[in-house]
Amino acid sequence: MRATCWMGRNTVEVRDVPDPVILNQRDAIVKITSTAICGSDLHLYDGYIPSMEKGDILGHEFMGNVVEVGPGVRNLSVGDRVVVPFPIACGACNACAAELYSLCENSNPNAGMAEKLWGHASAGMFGYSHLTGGFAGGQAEYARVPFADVGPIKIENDLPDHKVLFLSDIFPTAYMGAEMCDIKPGDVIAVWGAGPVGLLAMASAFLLGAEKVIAIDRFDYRLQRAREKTGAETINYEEVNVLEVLGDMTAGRGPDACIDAVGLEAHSDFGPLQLYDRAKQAVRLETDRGPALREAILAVRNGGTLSIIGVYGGLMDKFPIGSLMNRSITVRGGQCHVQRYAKPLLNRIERGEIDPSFVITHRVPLEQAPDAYEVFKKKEDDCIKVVLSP
Amino acid sequence: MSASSAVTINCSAEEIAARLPEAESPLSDDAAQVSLAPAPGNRGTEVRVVLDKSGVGGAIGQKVSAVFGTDQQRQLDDALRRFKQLLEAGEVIHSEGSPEGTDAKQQRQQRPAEPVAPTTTD
Repeated sequence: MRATCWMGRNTVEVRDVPDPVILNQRDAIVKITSTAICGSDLHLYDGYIPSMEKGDILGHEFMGNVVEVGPGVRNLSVGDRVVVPFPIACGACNACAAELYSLCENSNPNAGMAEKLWGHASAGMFGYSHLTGGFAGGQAEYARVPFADVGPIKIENDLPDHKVLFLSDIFPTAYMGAEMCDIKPGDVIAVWGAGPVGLLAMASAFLLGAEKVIAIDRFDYRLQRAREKTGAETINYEEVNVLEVLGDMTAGRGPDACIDAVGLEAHSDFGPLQLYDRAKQAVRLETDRGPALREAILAVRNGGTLSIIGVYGGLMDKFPIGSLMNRSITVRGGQCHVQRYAKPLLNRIERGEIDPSFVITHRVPLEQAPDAYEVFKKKEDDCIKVVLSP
Repeated sequence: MSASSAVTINCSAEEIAARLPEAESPLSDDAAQVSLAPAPGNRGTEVRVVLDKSGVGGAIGQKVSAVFGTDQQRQLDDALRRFKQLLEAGEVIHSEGSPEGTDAKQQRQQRPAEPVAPTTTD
Protein backbone atom coordinates (compact mmCIF):
# COMPACT_ATOMS: atom_id res chain seq x y z
CA MET A 1 0.00 0.00 0.00
CA ARG A 2 0.97 3.66 -0.19
CA ALA A 3 1.74 5.46 3.06
CA THR A 4 3.10 8.81 4.24
CA CYS A 5 6.41 8.08 5.94
CA TRP A 6 8.63 10.25 8.14
CA MET A 7 12.09 10.08 6.59
CA GLY A 8 13.89 12.56 8.81
CA ARG A 9 13.50 16.14 9.89
CA ASN A 10 11.39 18.14 7.40
CA THR A 11 11.08 15.16 5.08
CA VAL A 12 8.07 12.98 4.42
CA GLU A 13 7.64 10.66 1.46
CA VAL A 14 4.69 8.68 0.17
CA ARG A 15 6.16 5.20 -0.17
CA ASP A 16 5.24 1.60 -0.87
CA VAL A 17 5.04 -0.40 2.35
CA PRO A 18 3.53 -3.81 3.20
CA ASP A 19 -0.22 -3.94 3.79
CA PRO A 20 -1.09 -4.20 7.48
CA VAL A 21 -2.02 -7.57 8.91
CA ILE A 22 -3.85 -8.57 12.08
CA LEU A 23 -1.29 -8.84 14.92
CA ASN A 24 -3.68 -8.99 17.89
CA GLN A 25 -7.02 -10.72 18.29
CA ARG A 26 -8.78 -7.43 18.94
CA ASP A 27 -7.35 -5.73 15.82
CA ALA A 28 -9.30 -4.54 12.81
CA ILE A 29 -7.93 -3.45 9.45
CA VAL A 30 -9.49 -0.27 8.09
CA LYS A 31 -9.38 0.84 4.45
CA ILE A 32 -8.96 4.57 4.85
CA THR A 33 -11.27 6.93 2.99
CA SER A 34 -10.19 10.22 4.59
CA THR A 35 -7.27 11.26 6.77
CA ALA A 36 -5.86 14.57 7.89
CA ILE A 37 -2.63 16.29 8.82
CA CYS A 38 -2.71 17.51 12.40
CA GLY A 39 -0.87 20.53 13.75
CA SER A 40 0.84 18.12 16.11
CA ASP A 41 2.19 16.22 13.07
CA LEU A 42 4.26 19.33 12.41
CA HIS A 43 6.06 18.76 15.74
CA LEU A 44 7.15 15.38 14.33
CA TYR A 45 7.90 16.85 10.90
CA ASP A 46 10.06 19.54 12.47
CA GLY A 47 11.87 16.99 14.61
CA TYR A 48 10.85 18.19 18.07
CA ILE A 49 9.35 14.94 19.37
CA PRO A 50 12.03 12.41 20.31
CA SER A 51 12.02 8.74 19.35
CA MET A 52 11.00 8.93 15.69
CA GLU A 53 12.44 6.30 13.33
CA LYS A 54 13.08 6.72 9.63
CA GLY A 55 10.16 5.10 7.83
CA ASP A 56 7.51 5.67 10.49
CA ILE A 57 4.04 6.02 8.97
CA LEU A 58 2.47 9.28 10.14
CA GLY A 59 -1.13 10.16 10.79
CA HIS A 60 -3.53 9.85 13.70
CA GLU A 61 -6.71 11.36 12.24
CA PHE A 62 -8.41 8.86 9.96
CA MET A 63 -11.62 7.07 9.08
CA GLY A 64 -12.69 4.43 6.63
CA ASN A 65 -14.30 1.05 6.15
CA VAL A 66 -13.54 -2.10 8.09
CA VAL A 67 -12.10 -4.74 5.76
CA GLU A 68 -10.98 -7.36 8.30
CA VAL A 69 -11.54 -8.02 11.99
CA GLY A 70 -9.62 -10.19 14.42
CA PRO A 71 -11.39 -13.02 16.28
CA GLY A 72 -11.68 -10.86 19.43
CA VAL A 73 -13.74 -8.12 17.76
CA ARG A 74 -17.47 -8.76 17.98
CA ASN A 75 -18.97 -5.28 17.68
CA LEU A 76 -17.62 -4.50 14.22
CA SER A 77 -18.15 -6.22 10.90
CA VAL A 78 -16.51 -6.01 7.51
CA GLY A 79 -18.01 -3.04 5.69
CA ASP A 80 -18.71 -0.93 8.78
CA ARG A 81 -17.84 2.73 8.37
CA VAL A 82 -15.78 3.95 11.32
CA VAL A 83 -13.88 6.94 12.67
CA VAL A 84 -10.82 5.89 14.67
CA PRO A 85 -9.78 7.77 17.85
CA PHE A 86 -6.08 8.60 17.96
CA PRO A 87 -5.42 7.13 21.43
CA ILE A 88 -5.33 3.34 21.56
CA ALA A 89 -7.13 2.05 24.65
CA CYS A 90 -7.79 -1.43 26.05
CA GLY A 91 -11.02 -0.54 27.84
CA ALA A 92 -10.21 -2.67 30.89
CA CYS A 93 -7.43 -1.08 32.96
CA ASN A 94 -8.02 1.43 35.73
CA ALA A 95 -7.37 4.40 33.42
CA CYS A 96 -9.91 3.17 30.87
CA ALA A 97 -12.38 2.37 33.66
CA ALA A 98 -12.09 6.03 34.68
CA GLU A 99 -12.59 7.07 31.01
CA LEU A 100 -9.03 8.39 30.86
CA TYR A 101 -8.44 6.58 27.59
CA SER A 102 -5.33 8.48 26.50
CA LEU A 103 -3.70 7.11 29.66
CA CYS A 104 -4.49 3.46 28.94
CA GLU A 105 -2.02 1.35 30.90
CA ASN A 106 -1.80 -1.49 28.40
CA SER A 107 -1.73 -0.06 24.88
CA ASN A 108 1.80 1.33 24.86
CA PRO A 109 4.35 -1.47 24.49
CA ASN A 110 7.10 1.14 24.90
CA ALA A 111 5.76 2.47 28.19
CA GLY A 112 9.18 2.03 29.79
CA MET A 113 10.66 4.48 27.28
CA ALA A 114 8.02 7.12 28.05
CA GLU A 115 8.40 6.64 31.81
CA LYS A 116 12.03 7.71 31.61
CA LEU A 117 10.97 11.07 30.12
CA TRP A 118 7.59 11.66 31.75
CA GLY A 119 7.62 9.67 34.99
CA HIS A 120 4.61 7.65 33.85
CA ALA A 121 3.59 6.66 30.33
CA SER A 122 0.67 7.69 28.15
CA ALA A 123 -1.40 5.34 26.03
CA GLY A 124 -0.30 4.07 22.67
CA MET A 125 -1.16 6.43 19.82
CA PHE A 126 -1.22 6.06 16.06
CA GLY A 127 1.70 7.46 14.10
CA TYR A 128 3.08 9.54 16.91
CA SER A 129 6.65 8.45 17.68
CA HIS A 130 7.89 5.41 19.54
CA LEU A 131 7.34 7.01 22.96
CA THR A 132 3.66 6.39 22.30
CA GLY A 133 4.18 2.82 21.18
CA GLY A 134 5.57 2.83 17.66
CA PHE A 135 2.21 2.27 15.97
CA ALA A 136 1.90 2.79 12.22
CA GLY A 137 -0.30 5.78 11.46
CA GLY A 138 -3.25 6.50 9.22
CA GLN A 139 -1.96 8.75 6.45
CA ALA A 140 -2.04 5.65 4.31
CA GLU A 141 -4.37 3.42 2.34
CA TYR A 142 -4.91 1.00 5.24
CA ALA A 143 -4.29 0.92 8.97
CA ARG A 144 -4.28 -1.75 11.64
CA VAL A 145 -6.47 -0.63 14.54
CA PRO A 146 -5.71 -2.35 17.86
CA PHE A 147 -8.51 -2.72 20.43
CA ALA A 148 -11.01 -2.13 17.64
CA ASP A 149 -13.78 -3.22 20.00
CA VAL A 150 -13.10 -0.14 22.18
CA GLY A 151 -11.99 2.73 19.96
CA PRO A 152 -13.65 3.05 16.56
CA ILE A 153 -17.01 4.77 16.45
CA LYS A 154 -19.46 3.49 13.85
CA ILE A 155 -20.97 6.06 11.51
CA GLU A 156 -24.43 4.81 10.66
CA ASN A 157 -25.74 7.93 8.98
CA ASP A 158 -24.96 9.38 5.56
CA LEU A 159 -22.94 12.35 6.80
CA PRO A 160 -19.98 12.86 4.46
CA ASP A 161 -16.46 12.06 5.68
CA HIS A 162 -15.42 15.67 6.17
CA LYS A 163 -18.18 16.30 8.70
CA VAL A 164 -17.24 13.37 10.97
CA LEU A 165 -13.51 12.82 10.30
CA PHE A 166 -12.46 15.22 13.05
CA LEU A 167 -14.11 13.07 15.71
CA SER A 168 -10.79 11.18 15.51
CA ASP A 169 -8.91 13.95 17.28
CA ILE A 170 -9.28 17.68 16.82
CA PHE A 171 -12.96 18.16 17.63
CA PRO A 172 -12.90 16.07 20.85
CA THR A 173 -9.51 17.59 21.73
CA ALA A 174 -10.88 21.10 21.32
CA TYR A 175 -14.10 20.24 23.14
CA MET A 176 -12.19 18.73 26.06
CA GLY A 177 -10.07 21.88 26.14
CA ALA A 178 -13.22 23.95 26.55
CA GLU A 179 -14.79 21.50 28.99
CA MET A 180 -11.70 21.69 31.22
CA CYS A 181 -12.42 25.44 31.58
CA ASP A 182 -15.50 24.55 33.62
CA ILE A 183 -17.39 27.36 31.88
CA LYS A 184 -20.02 29.23 33.90
CA PRO A 185 -22.52 31.86 32.69
CA GLY A 186 -20.73 35.12 31.95
CA ASP A 187 -17.31 33.52 31.48
CA VAL A 188 -14.79 34.99 29.06
CA ILE A 189 -12.50 32.42 27.46
CA ALA A 190 -9.26 33.31 25.65
CA VAL A 191 -7.78 30.86 23.16
CA TRP A 192 -4.15 31.03 22.05
CA GLY A 193 -3.86 29.70 18.50
CA ALA A 194 -6.49 29.98 15.77
CA GLY A 195 -5.46 26.80 14.02
CA PRO A 196 -7.88 23.87 13.62
CA VAL A 197 -7.91 22.90 17.31
CA GLY A 198 -8.08 26.51 18.48
CA LEU A 199 -10.98 27.31 16.13
CA LEU A 200 -12.90 24.25 17.30
CA ALA A 201 -12.11 25.13 20.94
CA MET A 202 -13.65 28.56 20.35
CA ALA A 203 -16.78 26.99 18.87
CA SER A 204 -16.87 24.46 21.73
CA ALA A 205 -16.55 27.21 24.36
CA PHE A 206 -19.65 28.84 22.91
CA LEU A 207 -21.44 25.45 22.84
CA LEU A 208 -20.65 25.16 26.55
CA GLY A 209 -22.07 28.59 27.35
CA ALA A 210 -19.21 31.07 27.22
CA GLU A 211 -20.26 34.72 27.18
CA LYS A 212 -17.31 35.84 25.11
CA VAL A 213 -14.42 34.09 23.38
CA ILE A 214 -11.20 35.83 22.39
CA ALA A 215 -8.84 34.39 19.77
CA ILE A 216 -5.12 35.21 19.80
CA ASP A 217 -2.97 34.56 16.72
CA ARG A 218 -0.81 36.47 14.27
CA PHE A 219 -2.31 35.33 10.96
CA ASP A 220 -5.16 37.54 9.86
CA TYR A 221 -6.71 34.83 7.66
CA ARG A 222 -7.02 32.58 10.71
CA LEU A 223 -8.37 35.36 12.92
CA GLN A 224 -10.88 36.19 10.21
CA ARG A 225 -12.11 32.59 10.21
CA ALA A 226 -12.36 32.76 14.00
CA ARG A 227 -14.57 35.85 13.77
CA GLU A 228 -16.70 34.60 10.90
CA LYS A 229 -17.16 30.95 11.84
CA THR A 230 -17.13 30.96 15.63
CA GLY A 231 -18.13 34.47 16.68
CA ALA A 232 -14.91 35.02 18.61
CA GLU A 233 -13.34 38.44 19.02
CA THR A 234 -9.74 38.52 17.92
CA ILE A 235 -6.32 39.86 18.89
CA ASN A 236 -3.35 39.90 16.52
CA TYR A 237 -0.42 39.63 18.90
CA GLU A 238 1.97 41.16 16.39
CA GLU A 239 -0.03 44.37 16.39
CA VAL A 240 -0.88 44.96 20.04
CA ASN A 241 0.15 44.02 23.56
CA VAL A 242 -1.98 40.98 24.33
CA LEU A 243 -2.01 41.39 28.11
CA GLU A 244 -3.06 45.03 27.83
CA VAL A 245 -5.84 44.30 25.37
CA LEU A 246 -7.15 41.34 27.38
CA GLY A 247 -7.08 43.50 30.49
CA ASP A 248 -9.10 46.14 28.69
CA MET A 249 -11.60 43.64 27.25
CA THR A 250 -12.24 42.15 30.69
CA ALA A 251 -12.05 45.40 32.68
CA GLY A 252 -8.92 44.33 34.44
CA ARG A 253 -10.05 40.85 35.52
CA GLY A 254 -8.37 38.81 32.83
CA PRO A 255 -10.09 35.91 31.04
CA ASP A 256 -11.80 33.41 33.33
CA ALA A 257 -9.98 30.63 31.53
CA CYS A 258 -7.20 30.46 28.95
CA ILE A 259 -6.80 27.64 26.44
CA ASP A 260 -3.37 26.90 24.98
CA ALA A 261 -4.03 25.46 21.52
CA VAL A 262 -0.51 26.16 20.32
CA GLY A 263 1.94 23.74 21.89
CA LEU A 264 5.65 23.34 21.83
CA GLU A 265 6.55 25.31 18.72
CA ALA A 266 4.98 28.56 19.82
CA HIS A 267 6.15 31.66 18.03
CA SER A 268 6.53 35.08 19.54
CA ASP A 269 7.91 38.43 18.51
CA PHE A 270 11.58 38.02 18.08
CA GLY A 271 12.53 39.00 21.63
CA PRO A 272 15.32 37.74 23.82
CA LEU A 273 13.20 34.96 25.31
CA GLN A 274 12.33 33.59 21.86
CA LEU A 275 16.03 33.60 20.97
CA TYR A 276 16.80 31.84 24.25
CA ASP A 277 14.16 29.14 23.61
CA ARG A 278 15.24 28.57 20.02
CA ALA A 279 18.90 28.31 20.97
CA LYS A 280 18.22 25.81 23.74
CA GLN A 281 15.85 23.80 21.51
CA ALA A 282 18.46 23.69 18.77
CA VAL A 283 20.91 21.90 21.04
CA ARG A 284 18.13 19.89 22.68
CA LEU A 285 18.60 21.41 26.15
CA GLU A 286 14.94 22.38 26.02
CA THR A 287 12.37 20.56 23.92
CA ASP A 288 9.45 22.93 24.23
CA ARG A 289 9.34 26.66 23.70
CA GLY A 290 6.63 28.43 25.53
CA PRO A 291 5.70 32.04 24.77
CA ALA A 292 2.00 31.20 24.33
CA LEU A 293 1.78 29.19 27.55
CA ARG A 294 3.72 31.80 29.52
CA GLU A 295 1.45 34.56 28.25
CA ALA A 296 -1.69 32.54 28.96
CA ILE A 297 -0.60 32.06 32.58
CA LEU A 298 0.04 35.77 33.06
CA ALA A 299 -3.26 36.66 31.38
CA VAL A 300 -5.72 34.45 33.23
CA ARG A 301 -7.68 36.05 36.06
CA ASN A 302 -6.88 35.38 39.71
CA GLY A 303 -8.28 31.98 40.56
CA GLY A 304 -8.83 31.20 36.86
CA THR A 305 -8.14 28.09 34.84
CA LEU A 306 -5.42 27.25 32.35
CA SER A 307 -6.40 24.50 29.89
CA ILE A 308 -3.49 23.01 27.93
CA ILE A 309 -4.36 21.04 24.80
CA GLY A 310 -1.47 22.16 22.61
CA VAL A 311 1.05 19.32 22.58
CA TYR A 312 4.25 19.51 24.61
CA GLY A 313 6.95 16.86 24.54
CA GLY A 314 9.42 17.37 27.33
CA LEU A 315 10.87 20.34 29.14
CA MET A 316 10.31 24.09 29.09
CA ASP A 317 12.36 26.85 30.66
CA LYS A 318 11.26 30.16 32.21
CA PHE A 319 7.97 28.76 33.40
CA PRO A 320 6.13 31.45 35.43
CA ILE A 321 5.47 29.29 38.43
CA GLY A 322 5.27 32.32 40.76
CA SER A 323 2.28 33.74 38.89
CA LEU A 324 0.64 30.35 38.83
CA MET A 325 1.09 29.65 42.53
CA ASN A 326 0.44 33.07 44.02
CA ARG A 327 -2.72 33.63 41.99
CA SER A 328 -4.44 30.31 42.70
CA ILE A 329 -4.53 29.22 39.07
CA THR A 330 -5.90 25.79 38.22
CA VAL A 331 -3.96 23.96 35.51
CA ARG A 332 -5.61 21.23 33.46
CA GLY A 333 -4.41 19.46 30.39
CA GLY A 334 -4.11 16.20 28.60
CA GLN A 335 -4.13 14.28 25.40
CA CYS A 336 -7.81 13.93 24.64
CA HIS A 337 -9.73 10.93 25.95
CA VAL A 338 -11.40 10.70 22.56
CA GLN A 339 -13.38 7.53 23.31
CA ARG A 340 -15.25 9.48 26.02
CA TYR A 341 -16.33 12.26 23.65
CA ALA A 342 -16.76 10.70 20.20
CA LYS A 343 -20.36 9.53 20.56
CA PRO A 344 -21.83 12.63 22.26
CA LEU A 345 -20.02 14.87 19.79
CA LEU A 346 -21.26 12.78 16.86
CA ASN A 347 -24.74 13.42 18.23
CA ARG A 348 -24.07 17.16 18.27
CA ILE A 349 -22.98 17.00 14.62
CA GLU A 350 -26.08 14.94 13.71
CA ARG A 351 -28.32 17.48 15.44
CA GLY A 352 -26.67 20.26 13.43
CA GLU A 353 -25.30 22.07 16.48
CA ILE A 354 -21.86 22.24 14.89
CA ASP A 355 -20.16 21.32 11.62
CA PRO A 356 -16.44 20.89 12.37
CA SER A 357 -15.57 20.93 8.66
CA PHE A 358 -15.43 24.75 8.77
CA VAL A 359 -11.69 24.45 9.52
CA ILE A 360 -10.88 22.68 6.21
CA THR A 361 -9.01 24.72 3.61
CA HIS A 362 -7.26 22.05 1.53
CA ARG A 363 -8.29 18.67 0.16
CA VAL A 364 -5.62 16.78 -1.76
CA PRO A 365 -4.78 13.20 -2.75
CA LEU A 366 -2.56 11.23 -0.37
CA GLU A 367 0.21 11.32 -2.97
CA GLN A 368 0.50 15.08 -2.42
CA ALA A 369 1.14 14.74 1.34
CA PRO A 370 4.76 15.98 1.13
CA ASP A 371 3.66 19.25 -0.50
CA ALA A 372 0.76 19.54 1.90
CA TYR A 373 3.09 19.28 4.91
CA GLU A 374 5.17 22.15 3.53
CA VAL A 375 2.15 24.34 2.76
CA PHE A 376 0.67 23.65 6.20
CA LYS A 377 3.96 24.23 8.01
CA LYS A 378 4.67 27.50 6.23
CA LYS A 379 1.03 28.58 6.42
CA GLU A 380 1.05 29.27 2.70
CA ASP A 381 -2.09 29.65 0.63
CA ASP A 382 -4.09 30.55 3.78
CA CYS A 383 -3.80 26.94 4.91
CA ILE A 384 -5.61 25.90 8.09
CA LYS A 385 -6.50 22.22 7.70
CA VAL A 386 -5.51 19.63 5.11
CA VAL A 387 -7.58 16.53 4.40
CA LEU A 388 -5.92 13.75 2.40
CA SER A 389 -7.74 11.19 0.27
CA PRO A 390 -5.95 7.86 -0.21
CA MET B 1 21.46 -9.99 42.66
CA SER B 2 17.88 -9.20 43.35
CA ALA B 3 15.19 -7.34 41.52
CA SER B 4 11.77 -6.12 42.48
CA SER B 5 8.84 -4.66 40.64
CA ALA B 6 5.23 -3.71 41.32
CA VAL B 7 2.10 -3.00 39.33
CA THR B 8 -1.62 -2.52 39.91
CA ILE B 9 -3.87 -4.88 37.98
CA ASN B 10 -7.60 -4.23 37.74
CA CYS B 11 -8.52 -7.83 38.63
CA SER B 12 -9.20 -9.74 41.84
CA ALA B 13 -6.36 -11.36 43.78
CA GLU B 14 -8.00 -14.75 43.18
CA GLU B 15 -7.93 -14.34 39.42
CA ILE B 16 -4.34 -13.10 39.46
CA ALA B 17 -3.22 -16.01 41.62
CA ALA B 18 -5.00 -18.48 39.38
CA ARG B 19 -3.39 -17.14 36.24
CA LEU B 20 0.12 -16.62 37.59
CA PRO B 21 1.29 -19.84 35.91
CA GLU B 22 0.66 -18.13 32.54
CA ALA B 23 3.26 -15.46 33.38
CA GLU B 24 6.62 -15.44 31.61
CA SER B 25 10.04 -15.87 33.16
CA PRO B 26 11.34 -14.51 35.50
CA LEU B 27 7.90 -13.69 36.95
CA SER B 28 7.00 -17.36 36.68
CA ASP B 29 10.26 -18.58 38.21
CA ASP B 30 10.31 -20.33 41.57
CA ALA B 31 12.64 -17.57 42.79
CA ALA B 32 9.92 -14.94 42.22
CA GLN B 33 8.08 -14.14 45.42
CA VAL B 34 4.73 -12.61 44.52
CA SER B 35 2.57 -10.79 47.04
CA LEU B 36 -0.96 -9.61 46.37
CA ALA B 37 -2.89 -6.93 48.24
CA PRO B 38 -6.12 -5.08 47.48
CA ALA B 39 -5.50 -1.75 45.74
CA PRO B 40 -7.22 1.09 47.60
CA GLY B 41 -10.25 2.66 46.00
CA ASN B 42 -11.53 -0.50 44.30
CA ARG B 43 -8.73 -0.45 41.78
CA GLY B 44 -8.05 -4.16 41.77
CA THR B 45 -4.91 -5.67 43.20
CA GLU B 46 -1.42 -4.45 43.98
CA VAL B 47 1.06 -7.01 42.71
CA ARG B 48 4.56 -6.90 44.16
CA VAL B 49 7.33 -9.21 43.04
CA VAL B 50 10.75 -9.81 44.54
CA LEU B 51 13.21 -11.90 42.61
CA ASP B 52 16.21 -13.18 44.49
CA LYS B 53 18.64 -15.32 42.60
CA SER B 54 22.10 -15.13 41.12
CA GLY B 55 22.23 -14.36 37.44
CA VAL B 56 24.20 -16.37 34.95
CA GLY B 57 27.91 -15.56 34.99
CA GLY B 58 28.14 -14.19 38.51
CA ALA B 59 29.04 -10.58 39.26
CA ILE B 60 30.83 -9.91 35.98
CA GLY B 61 28.03 -11.52 34.02
CA GLN B 62 25.53 -9.28 35.75
CA LYS B 63 27.47 -6.17 34.81
CA VAL B 64 27.72 -7.30 31.20
CA SER B 65 24.00 -8.08 31.24
CA ALA B 66 23.19 -4.66 32.65
CA VAL B 67 25.09 -2.95 29.86
CA PHE B 68 23.31 -4.96 27.20
CA GLY B 69 19.92 -4.69 28.81
CA THR B 70 19.32 -8.33 29.63
CA ASP B 71 19.45 -7.95 33.38
CA GLN B 72 16.87 -9.39 35.68
CA GLN B 73 15.29 -6.09 36.64
CA ARG B 74 14.35 -5.29 33.05
CA GLN B 75 13.20 -8.82 32.40
CA LEU B 76 11.05 -8.74 35.51
CA ASP B 77 9.57 -5.33 34.63
CA ASP B 78 8.77 -6.60 31.13
CA ALA B 79 7.24 -9.84 32.40
CA LEU B 80 5.04 -7.95 34.85
CA ARG B 81 3.84 -5.51 32.18
CA ARG B 82 3.08 -8.38 29.82
CA PHE B 83 1.23 -10.25 32.55
CA LYS B 84 -0.87 -7.14 33.27
CA GLN B 85 -1.69 -6.83 29.56
CA LEU B 86 -2.64 -10.50 29.44
CA LEU B 87 -5.02 -10.20 32.38
CA GLU B 88 -6.60 -6.84 31.61
CA ALA B 89 -6.48 -6.68 27.82
CA GLY B 90 -6.57 -10.41 27.11
CA GLU B 91 -3.28 -10.57 25.26
CA VAL B 92 0.12 -8.94 24.89
CA ILE B 93 -0.20 -5.88 22.66
CA HIS B 94 1.97 -5.68 19.54
CA SER B 95 2.94 -2.53 17.69
CA GLU B 96 4.78 -2.16 14.42
CA GLY B 97 7.77 -0.65 16.27
CA SER B 98 7.68 -3.37 18.95
CA PRO B 99 6.22 -6.38 17.09
CA GLU B 100 7.15 -8.74 19.93
CA GLY B 101 5.33 -6.54 22.44
CA THR B 102 6.79 -4.96 25.53
CA ASP B 103 10.52 -5.67 25.59
CA ALA B 104 12.99 -3.23 27.16
CA LYS B 105 15.74 -4.32 24.82
CA GLN B 106 13.58 -3.74 21.74
CA GLN B 107 12.63 -0.30 22.99
CA ARG B 108 16.14 0.83 22.21
CA GLN B 109 16.19 -0.82 18.79
CA GLN B 110 12.78 -0.03 17.37
CA ARG B 111 11.84 -1.08 13.89
CA PRO B 112 10.06 1.62 11.86
CA ALA B 113 6.34 1.96 12.52
CA GLU B 114 5.29 0.42 9.23
CA PRO B 115 3.36 -2.83 8.79
CA VAL B 116 5.06 -6.06 9.65
CA ALA B 117 5.23 -8.18 6.51
CA PRO B 118 3.53 -11.55 7.00
CA THR B 119 6.09 -14.17 7.97
CA THR B 120 4.01 -17.23 7.19
CA THR B 121 1.98 -18.22 4.19
CA ASP B 122 -0.87 -20.66 4.18
